[in-house]
This record gives sequence, structure tokens and C-alpha cells, in this order.
Amino acid sequence: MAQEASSSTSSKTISLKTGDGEIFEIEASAAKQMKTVQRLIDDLGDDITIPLHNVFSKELPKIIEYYKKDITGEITKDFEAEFVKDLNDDEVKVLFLAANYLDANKLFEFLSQNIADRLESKSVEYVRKYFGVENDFTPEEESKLREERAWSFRGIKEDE
Amino acid sequence: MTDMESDRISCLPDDVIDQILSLLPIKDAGRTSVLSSEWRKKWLTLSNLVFDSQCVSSASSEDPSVSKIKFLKIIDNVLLLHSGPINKVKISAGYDLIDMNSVADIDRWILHLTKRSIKKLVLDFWLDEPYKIPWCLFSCQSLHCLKLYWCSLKPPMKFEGFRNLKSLYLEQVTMTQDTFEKLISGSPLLEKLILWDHNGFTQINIHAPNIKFVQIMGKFEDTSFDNTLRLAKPVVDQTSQSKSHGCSSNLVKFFDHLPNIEMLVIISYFIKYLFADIVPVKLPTPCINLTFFSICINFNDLKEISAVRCLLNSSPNLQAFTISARLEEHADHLTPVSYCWEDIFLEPIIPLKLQRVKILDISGTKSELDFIRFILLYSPVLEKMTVKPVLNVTSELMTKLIQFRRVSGKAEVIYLAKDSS
Repeated sequence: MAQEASSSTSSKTISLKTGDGEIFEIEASAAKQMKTVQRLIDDLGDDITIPLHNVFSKELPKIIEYYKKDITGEITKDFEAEFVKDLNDDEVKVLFLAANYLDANKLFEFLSQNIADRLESKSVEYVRKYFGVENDFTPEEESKLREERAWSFRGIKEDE
Repeated sequence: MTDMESDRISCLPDDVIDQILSLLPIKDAGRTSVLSSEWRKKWLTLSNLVFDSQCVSSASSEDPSVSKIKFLKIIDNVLLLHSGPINKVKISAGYDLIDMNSVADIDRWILHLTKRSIKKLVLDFWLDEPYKIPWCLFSCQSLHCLKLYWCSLKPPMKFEGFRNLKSLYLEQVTMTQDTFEKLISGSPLLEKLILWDHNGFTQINIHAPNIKFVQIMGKFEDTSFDNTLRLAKPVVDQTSQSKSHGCSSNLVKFFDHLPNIEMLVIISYFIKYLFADIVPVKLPTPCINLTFFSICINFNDLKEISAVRCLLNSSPNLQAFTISARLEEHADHLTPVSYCWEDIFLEPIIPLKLQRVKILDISGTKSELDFIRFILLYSPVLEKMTVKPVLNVTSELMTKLIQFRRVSGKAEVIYLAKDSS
């Protein structure tokens, strides 16, 4: 492999290119936290712009922001709350999928808890749409199931 | 939103969905069974189950007996339908959901769980009397972690411990001395032990080759650590004085088995117990890994001050400590203790590497001030000393502190008035 001792400089930045053609810079130490990116760096070298086909310019800056805080060890509960405060459920899902693709473990775990928290007490219809699940029950089957699980429906407002 | 984006959004891969599902409370997970036929059984393979008041949302006007029945039925329902191994179960409920009538059901659930290779069990409910752990749990060898509150443990004769147990947390649990010994010595993989307010035994003998963390808070007569070479961070809080003072060299016994001790936290009377004999100038073997300790001492008891000196002389790598002043129950703390500085505050026999110290709850007595003076005098690399009085002692104290000679050029003395944290 034609690589020099490039791992010595921690201030080295890596260029990432999103699926819609925009380029962003991140620190090499942040790139280490995203296993997919690190693998690409290992294969292609760190001087080349790393292509990320499945991540787009809408979400990558937010991910970079998270890991910028992470390498300085400043991620607190307050920061995490602020981080997702203004995101709607779909925006969180997009971020979450990107974190999954990038194999960015810390962000992935944080977002999965956040999504679980958001889905608490949501209606069945809402969750179906969120996960992209098609309802293949007949109305009779569904109402029978709902009866069986009556205890889990108490206090939930269904959106009709 | 473009077509491409909306397609992406609906495509959450299965393993990712499972991850989210495992983080949902049981109630919401149960609802997912209605999503589609594929989802019908998904929630029943979740391996971490938490049964608490969140499962039951009841109207405030509801009869409490109705909520209890609901709670019971939910647990029955879920445990019966569940398939696959169960990793963790936590039952945490107040008296509104679990009462003495539920005991037979709880026994039944535990029996069921022992058959499902349960690894972690948490029982957090408070009945009229401690819940008697059923015998079936004592033969459950799949347990890695056990957390029990307000229970009593009376195992069968053949009980020999939990072979795979790594973490044990017991709060207000009753058992005999014999059971405690069997529990500890029969669980060779035990790494973490926390005992709060135990009942029924007074000797804490820790014979555990893999133990790394111990925290004991409660009343006991005697303690010993045997073969505990890995124990780095013991926390001991003895809430009442030992009746037996005559034990020879408690101290040497204690530190002998903790060669790797990195951090020591001793609260309340334990220091008195440890140093019941003549206090040596230093321990036979130095604690080379000890970097921090936090203890409670009675500054009027010169023996306890000598104990601190002994610890300082035996810990060449000590960087920080926190000492809280303890008031004795029997009020001899009002009579000032008379002594000679030269007798009590001898220069340390090794150089002190203290960087940060905290001295809390002092009232401004002579021995407390002398101790502070002693530390300032002999800590050449001290960076910060925090002093917090218990009453809002006058600023006279502060003035005195500032006047003490500090051998470290960059030592900063911070005095916390009562209202500041």
C-alpha cells in the first residue's frame, strides 16, 4: 500500500463527498469513529476524497457536528437534547439511517434511543408509516388482535 | 421531498428496527404486534423485559385492585407468549401494583424465568415483609447479575453459590452468616458486590478471587478480604461501631489482601475499626497503586489522625484525598484535645505527591486547623485545597487558613461558605 505515516498528524482532515456531490471536511480522528469511512480510507488512502453514496448534504453536516463534539469529549446529555430538539421524526430517521450506513456507533445508539422515545405512545398507523410497514391484516384480524393486546392500547390516541 | 428520499425513508433494515424495538417499553412493543403479520411475533423475541408502572396506565378513579390484576395479567401474558431466551427481567413496582397477595404469582414468574436461562434479574418491590426468594432461583446457574431489594434468602442445604454470577446488588436483604459465605465463596466469577443495609449477618468475609469492586454500607462487626488481589476500589461504610475492638491487626489484614488498591473510600466508623490497635507509622507493604482515598475521621481522636498519617506514609503515589470530619455520638467533642504538634504532626517519611485535597464538615477546632497546616506544609506539588465548614464558621477561620505557610508555590486554598456547593 502506497501510504506514508499519515496517521501521525491528528490535525489531518479528510474530504467526504456526499451522494449529491457536495464536499465536506472532517478531522481524521472524527473519521475514525465512522467505521465505514475508516475502511474506505484504509482502502483508498487518505488523500482522496471519500465518496459516500448513501449520505447526503442535508444530513452530513449534522453528523460532523456531533463527532466534532465527541473528539473533544464534550458530549453531555444537554448537548444531545439540543442536538435533536429541532428535528422532526423523519429528519431523525434520515440521520439514523446515515449513522447506520457510516457505522458510527455512538451516534447510532443515541439516535435509536431517541427514536424509541419518540415512538412511545404513538398510534399504530404512525408507527406503520414510520417503519414503512404494510398492513396485511383484514379488518377482522386486526380488531381481534387489538382486543388481545387491549392492555397495550390503553391511553393511546389512535389517529383515524 | 424527492422520490429518492421518500424511498430511503421507508427502508429501515430489519436489524436496525430490532434495535429500536428493544428500546421501547413493553407496552409500546406490545402494540407493534398489530402492525402487520410479520410484526405479530417480533416483540415476543425481545430479550430485555421491564415490568413497571409504565405498563399499566390507569385512570385515577380506578379501583387499586383492578390495577393490580391488570399488572399481573400483563406479566403472565407476556411471559407465556414470549419465545426465545430471556436476557433480563426487571420487576419494579410500588405497593399499588404488587402486594402480599401477589407472592404466589411472583414465585411462579421466577420459576418460569429460571427455565428460560435468565441472565439478569432485578426484583424491586417492597412488600409488608421481605419477599422470600423461592428455592428454584438458587439453582439457576444462568444468572450473571442479580439485584434484589427487601428480600430474604433462605436457600436449600445443597445451595453452593452461583457459578456464573458476576454482579450482585443486595439492598435491605436478610440472610444468615452461613448463606452469605456460601453465596460469596460459591460464586467465583463475582466481580462486583454492593451491599446496602444487610440483615442477619455481621461478618463480611469476602473470599472472591475476581472481585474488582466492593461497596458495603451497613452495620457489621468484622470484615476480611481474602484472595482479593484484583480488588482496586473498595467502598466501606460502617454505620455503627464494632463491638469487638480487640481484633489484632485489622489493618494489616485489610491491606494485605488488597495489594492493587487504587482507590479507597471509607465512611463512618470503619476507620476506627481498621486502626483499633496501635497505629503503625506506616503499613508493612506500601499501597503503590493507591491514588485516592476518601475517609471520615474524628479530628478529636488523635489515633485517627495518626491513622491518616499512616496512610499518607504508605501511599507513595497518592494524588488526592477527601476527608470529612465526623462528630462522635458521645459528646466528648466539646472538650479540646491537648497535644504537642511535634508528637502528632511528624514530617511524613516519604515525599507527598498530593495535588488536590478536600477537607469537609470541619468546625474550626485546633486539631483540624493543625491538620490543614500540616498538609500545606508538606505537600510540595499541591494545586488545590478545598475547605468546607459544617457551620458558617466565621471568616476568622479563613484568615487563619490563608496565613498558613504553603510549601507549594501554586497551591490554591478555596474556602466554601455554607451556601455554596
